[in-house]
Amino acid sequence: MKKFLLTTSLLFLTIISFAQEITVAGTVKDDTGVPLPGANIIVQGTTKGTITDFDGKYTIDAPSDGALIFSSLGFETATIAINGKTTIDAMLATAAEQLAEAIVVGTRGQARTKLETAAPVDVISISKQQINMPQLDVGQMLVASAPSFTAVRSQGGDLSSAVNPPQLRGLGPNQLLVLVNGKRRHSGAQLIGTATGGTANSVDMDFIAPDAIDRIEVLRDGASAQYGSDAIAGVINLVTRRGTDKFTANYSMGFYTNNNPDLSDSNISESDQELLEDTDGIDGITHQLGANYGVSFDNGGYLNVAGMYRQNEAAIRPNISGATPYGESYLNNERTDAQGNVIITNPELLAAQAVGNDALAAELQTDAGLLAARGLTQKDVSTFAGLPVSVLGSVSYNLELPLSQTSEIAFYSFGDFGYKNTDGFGCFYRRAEQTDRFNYDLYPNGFRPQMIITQTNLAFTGGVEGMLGEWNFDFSNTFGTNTQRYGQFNTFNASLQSESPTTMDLGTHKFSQNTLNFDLSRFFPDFLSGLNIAAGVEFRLENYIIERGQPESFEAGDAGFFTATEDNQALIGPDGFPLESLNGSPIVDNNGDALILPFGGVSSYPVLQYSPNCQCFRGFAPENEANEFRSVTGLYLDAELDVTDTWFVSAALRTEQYSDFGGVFTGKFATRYSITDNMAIRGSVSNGFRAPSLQELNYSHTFTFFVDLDPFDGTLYPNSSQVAKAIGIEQLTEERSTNLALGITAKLFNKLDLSIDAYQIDIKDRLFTTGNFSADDAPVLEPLIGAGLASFRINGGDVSTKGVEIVANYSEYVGEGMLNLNFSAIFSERTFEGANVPDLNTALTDQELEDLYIDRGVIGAFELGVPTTNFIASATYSLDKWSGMLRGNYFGEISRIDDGIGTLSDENFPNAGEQGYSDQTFSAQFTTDLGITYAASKNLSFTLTGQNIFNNYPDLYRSEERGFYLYGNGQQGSLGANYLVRATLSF
Amino acid sequence: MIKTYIKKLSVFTVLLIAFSSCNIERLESAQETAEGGGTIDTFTAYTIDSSDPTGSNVYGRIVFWKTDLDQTLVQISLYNTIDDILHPAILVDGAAGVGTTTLMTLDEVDGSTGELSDNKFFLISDTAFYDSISVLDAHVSISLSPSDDTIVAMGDIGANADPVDSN
Repeated sequence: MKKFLLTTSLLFLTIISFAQEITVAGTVKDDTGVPLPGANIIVQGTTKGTITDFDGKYTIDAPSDGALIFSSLGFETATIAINGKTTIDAMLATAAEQLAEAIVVGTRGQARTKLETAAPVDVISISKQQINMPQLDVGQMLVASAPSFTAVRSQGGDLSSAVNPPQLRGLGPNQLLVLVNGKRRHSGAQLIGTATGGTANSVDMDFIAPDAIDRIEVLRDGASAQYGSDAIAGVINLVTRRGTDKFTANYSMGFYTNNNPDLSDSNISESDQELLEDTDGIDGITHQLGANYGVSFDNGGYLNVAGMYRQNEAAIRPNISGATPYGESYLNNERTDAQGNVIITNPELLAAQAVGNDALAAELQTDAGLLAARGLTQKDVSTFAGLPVSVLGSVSYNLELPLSQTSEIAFYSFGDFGYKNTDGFGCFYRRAEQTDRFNYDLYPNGFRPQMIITQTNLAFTGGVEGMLGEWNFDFSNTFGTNTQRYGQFNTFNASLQSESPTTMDLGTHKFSQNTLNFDLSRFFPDFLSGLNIAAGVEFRLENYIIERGQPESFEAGDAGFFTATEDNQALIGPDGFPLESLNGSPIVDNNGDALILPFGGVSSYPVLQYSPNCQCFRGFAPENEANEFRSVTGLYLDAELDVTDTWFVSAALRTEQYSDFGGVFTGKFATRYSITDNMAIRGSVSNGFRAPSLQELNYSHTFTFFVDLDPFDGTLYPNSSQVAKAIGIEQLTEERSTNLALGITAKLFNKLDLSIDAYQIDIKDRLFTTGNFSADDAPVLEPLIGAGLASFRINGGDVSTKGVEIVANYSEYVGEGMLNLNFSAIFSERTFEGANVPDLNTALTDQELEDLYIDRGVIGAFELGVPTTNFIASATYSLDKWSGMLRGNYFGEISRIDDGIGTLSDENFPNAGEQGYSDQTFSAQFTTDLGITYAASKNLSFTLTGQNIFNNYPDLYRSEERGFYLYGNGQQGSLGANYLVRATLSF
Repeated sequence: MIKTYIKKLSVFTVLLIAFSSCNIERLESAQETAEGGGTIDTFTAYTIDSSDPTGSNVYGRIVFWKTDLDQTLVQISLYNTIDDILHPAILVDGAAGVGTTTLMTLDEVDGSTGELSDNKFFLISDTAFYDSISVLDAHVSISLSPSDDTIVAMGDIGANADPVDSN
């Protein structure tokens, strides 16, 4: 024991003597002697770094025997040994290489530049690029920068629109792992609808303030063996700013021009075109304020604090469906309540009759006439899509504190808190014509229910990292939680009629995740050309909660019931006629006589079968409530070896054990070989997995959907439910993937960086959602679902995605300024390989079952819902006080595949007048972004920037499908041109 | 140093406060409508009995509804009317079988539906009418057709009969 203690003490003393840090300062200049602001300085072998200020000056704490790596956009990287010096000036030679920041994602060893990695990594320097970008949120910044990246936010302003989901290579947002400073980011609580089919939980990119981020690394390769579940499509790592030693703030104000495209050649009627043209001018006015302040401590630590506040007004893109707003019974005052009392719905008509104006009375008995009399247009009673009203705030910090002056051990912590409120309008307009969801007292002209989604989001990481002997260690705990409270206004529970509240609490979802990590790594510089060994354990605990909403949001009221007041009471109204149902039909027996209610005070009859629960979105009910936990234990081993100076190999093994469905093993092998100094090939093979999330396992909800404007009520049941068991739906299992990648990187003419990478990902048992089963489809469900419909989440089938990604960067001094040209492209193909249909208890044929189990609409969304081809080409130029950015974005064509046969009516498409699927291909789109910045002084600059500046809209939906959206989703969206001005302050 | 921090944070705070003062309004539902709409539950209903010598047995009710604007809506609901025939309906002075002077001509009853033909209700604008019904010495008379004034049904109202239903 004494020997052990002595050895340990000596070891610590050795560590302390090794670990003497000094503060190094200096200036970084280019090869003409001009100071370089924003240059990166990184301590070699670590991720510790800083950037130069406006005068090219920097300070950094580093081991006295270490080395510093200097890099900057458009310049060669330089590595300079410290050798105890406290002042080191660096001069960087002009080079073609861009964004040469050391990359930490995808490796647990030595940081590498992006051309040196064994897998493709994009580095998006938010801190540098943000100033000229019209995009305000991190997700859209990534879309504009990385061709494989998509972040299709629902344009319906519905529940899903409250989340900004990241997606890579056309896979789901939960098939992409998001890290913040290398630590797993927690998912949002909600299961959102995705553009590529099905539902998925997702990290919400909105809660990470752009001002807090230094750069984002996008690893385009499967990495489950390195990071665990979810990293099927890849990993994005957001690296937050460190002690910047300056205060920066920016204020942006933007808006949409709200100019409709020329629709004169479309089949939208002229009157509807006039309505669409009748806009209120610019909309979606957005204000964003961001700030960041960082301070470096004398002991080598730092604190960085950032905050962001954004609010935007609605950008409404109405749909003109031509649906009847009022209908005959409304226009003629023919509606009655459950007791047969008269409901005057058209008092204007009575007024005209009172003065004997027959012509006016006739006009008021038409939909158009009554709308006009009330000063309304079709737009006022139409469904809205577009950008919902939202308010977003986020504050974050990043802290590092050395635990002593003599050790290399430091405490670090980073975290953020965010709040977001979204008033979505993504519900069909409830027209007054729809008698089952109508109440004159509350909504005489119908109503547009609106969602309220209020989110709070908290993330916190604390840890200790440093050296234990020759070993780097990192012990950390990361906690994250997202709470989403759902509500609705402009709604009501029709079965309660006038007694219903019009604003309701629909329930709360909460997802929490705590991850404990212990990582060890050691670099053996003398083993061949360098070997890094890493190992670690992870323990993750997750909790998912669904809490019910207020009773009125999910209950069925009795406002439509007639209750007898005496024995053998006839079901007649004051007029002596049988009471009428919602469609105006008399309620009679087989002889045509009014029904008789036998027992006074007891017998009742549902005369008017009003729609129950909160309109548009049923509140979460007791049967939906959940409070589920899961624990996950992971263990990994990772090795990276530079076999020679030109050949690099890496391998990783990982196992994870889930408390609720067993364990998985994954592995990865990657290699890179330098053919010449300027050219290398790289490739990887790995398998991966994604465990079904707690949300996917436990979410259930009853929802209303529309077919040709007719509402149906369906329920998504969890796989553990009686309904699922009755029909034979099995428990969800993990998705399993295999990833293959092969690529080439090159530096050409010393100015052009080029990487071409091909990939193929095969996923077995991908999660989908079934179509809706009725009791006719599955008679065994009749006692459980009655007249309702049932759907389920399933490991529905195997899919694959493959493609080629090209990234090229070119930098050159042109005149007195620096020109940077970037081009990136993805050519991909996503394929649904086949359904895995189990033997279910249904009355359907095998083909009918397969078509319902995974309908063609879901398959189509996966394969063609977002572009398979994307290009991004951009140019930036800086000269004196001016800098500019011009970017072109090409979105390849997408398709919508219909999920049900209907009557085809659009003459612009084949087979009009026949029964068929209303499939549609939306043509490729091109948009242009522009940004110009003028530095008025050292501390203040102004930017004018625009997104989609030529106001390019995607194709119109074919007329059969214009119930909700007017324009296609999945490309540039249908909001049109957006302009923004920004002031940036720095001192 | 502290002054510098305060200065920087002050700028940020002022910007934040100025910025947060912007209001975002919620969209409201369209409430535009004329006065007088909504559910009417004030009514007085009287029985109409068959008086057809040919035995057509037309019978039913006449209902007087009081609107929120104190107007009166007259509703007639008859069984056994004849399809495609319009039955004139009038209010007649005095009790059934006694009076003969027409007080008011209502719309015709559509024989196919048993209800008033042009509109479901006949509107009486006189705001004092409804409250005077209970003392009105009158009855309702239904004729066979515009060209045949055979009375097929009639019923006492007001002072001449108790309502079959009211509220």
